[in-house]
Amino acid sequence: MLVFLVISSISEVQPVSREAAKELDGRVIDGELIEELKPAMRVENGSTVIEISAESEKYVPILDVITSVTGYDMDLTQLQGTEFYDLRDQELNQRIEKQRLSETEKEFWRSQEAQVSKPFVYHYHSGPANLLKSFQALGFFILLLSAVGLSGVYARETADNMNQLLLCSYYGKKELYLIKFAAGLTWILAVALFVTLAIFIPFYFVYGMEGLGEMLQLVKPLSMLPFTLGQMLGVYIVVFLLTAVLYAAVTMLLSVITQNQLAVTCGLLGYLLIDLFAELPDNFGILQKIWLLRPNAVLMNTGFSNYRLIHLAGRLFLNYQAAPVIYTVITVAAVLFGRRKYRKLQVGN
Amino acid sequence: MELIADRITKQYKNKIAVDRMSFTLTKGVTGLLGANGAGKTTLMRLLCGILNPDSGTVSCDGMGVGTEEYRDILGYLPQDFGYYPEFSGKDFLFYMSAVKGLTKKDADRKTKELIELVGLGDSAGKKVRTYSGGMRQRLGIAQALLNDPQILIMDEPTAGLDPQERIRFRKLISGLGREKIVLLSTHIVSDLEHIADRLMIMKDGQLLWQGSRSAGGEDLEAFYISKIGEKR
Repeated sequence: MLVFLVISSISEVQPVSREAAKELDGRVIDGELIEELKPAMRVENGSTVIEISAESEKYVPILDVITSVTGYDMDLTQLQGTEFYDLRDQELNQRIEKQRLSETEKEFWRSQEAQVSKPFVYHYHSGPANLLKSFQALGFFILLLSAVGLSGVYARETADNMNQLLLCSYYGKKELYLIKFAAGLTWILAVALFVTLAIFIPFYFVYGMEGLGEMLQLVKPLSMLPFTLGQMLGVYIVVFLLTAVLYAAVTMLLSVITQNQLAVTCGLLGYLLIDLFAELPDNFGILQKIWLLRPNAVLMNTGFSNYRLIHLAGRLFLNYQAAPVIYTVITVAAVLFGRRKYRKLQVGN
Repeated sequence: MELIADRITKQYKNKIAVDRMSFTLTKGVTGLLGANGAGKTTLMRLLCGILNPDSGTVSCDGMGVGTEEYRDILGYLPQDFGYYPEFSGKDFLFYMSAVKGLTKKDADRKTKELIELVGLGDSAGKKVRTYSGGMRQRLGIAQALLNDPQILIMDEPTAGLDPQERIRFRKLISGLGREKIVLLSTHIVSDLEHIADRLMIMKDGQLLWQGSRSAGGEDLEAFYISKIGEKR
């Protein structure tokens, strides 16, 4: 499954060679560069079609940046000068209005946007860019692994009749719970590190790691965060590891509560399906805000196109700031609640 | 040392498994007799603290069954217990030693000692899943004795043992009963004839009779049947 994940992540990437993607390194994305790539464009029924040839291959990463803002449903051959940046501003304003951001939120984003340097300067960044995208799949993968690997931590011994021996032993009520939890945590962290490396290493050899210091907007042009790709990768790694810990804690809590390995696995797989397909529209204010804090939403790059912020103690926080704190709080609560339930566990009731 | 059960009751939906039972156990072997479904296993679970009574209390010299101190002096052999199939008998005993709070040195010593005591010396390194029913039962007995318990509760301990093993087990229990509170349940009366100091007879969750083994006379089976019959 991991091999499939790696192969599919790599094969998803645009068919642009490393050499071609490096050709325009250091070029400013401005009217002049946009003019250069127009020969590769064709307009059909009002939509722009890109024809990739050996000559135009080097322009594909630039087109990616542009079409991430404009889409293909307009005549890009008419794009002039700094119009791309005007279109970007328009799109950002539309989204901000649609998401009904408060004045303080708008002010926050204006201050962030002011730190984003424009025009964008293109640099080769395929490695970090594809790694950022792969975290979405990793988020689902770690949930799956947690459901399969940890659902029996506390439930299996009830099924196997071992609890009778354990629960009346000296360390059977308190320490055993914590030891099992620590073992589960160690396992999930080891697995999380392993799958991260299993993605990082092939990506490193295929694309290299150049571009870590480049602007996030080369991958997510509609983001207003003045971060580099390297900084964002750092944030994603932390969120991913905390996600793994959170999933492990919740899985083990459910294992204590239900004492049924199958029920826990099925419940988590059910959640995974909901997580995959359920989206809340922008008019679901607070509910959407909460839903977007779930691990896979954070790892799914929603924070680059949804600008809702978390208000707490008079301050504003990004999802990337709030999520790690919330995951840690939920993890601690799950440990404490699980311990309470475990201590009350009975046999044959 | 006294293990005191005071009016303990446990009910499952419409069935009262243990009905207001009160008794005091002291050093020596107490045999718990009763037919299948009489409530012996539920009573033992209540005494081990792995099942909470609906009412009543169990304590030993002031220690509640839910305390670490109590669990520290408790050894329990359930009727059907699980095992980790991938573990060898020795690994299983090491694991249980850790859960029972033994130091590595003590665990090593007790494991070796008990493996010999229950006659598993040749198969201690084999996986538990390859054990016969009797071997698993002997492994269960060994784990119950790991922490040198002062209270030893054994639910149908002779189930699955062959005649030779039963004799060896009876001798072992007789010896243990001199220093510990031993409660063992069975529906096979002959298991208790020569080793029990006291008897308790249960039927339908109630304690029908308790007293000295000698009160049962020479023919313990006849005595048991007469007591069971009295209730009817």
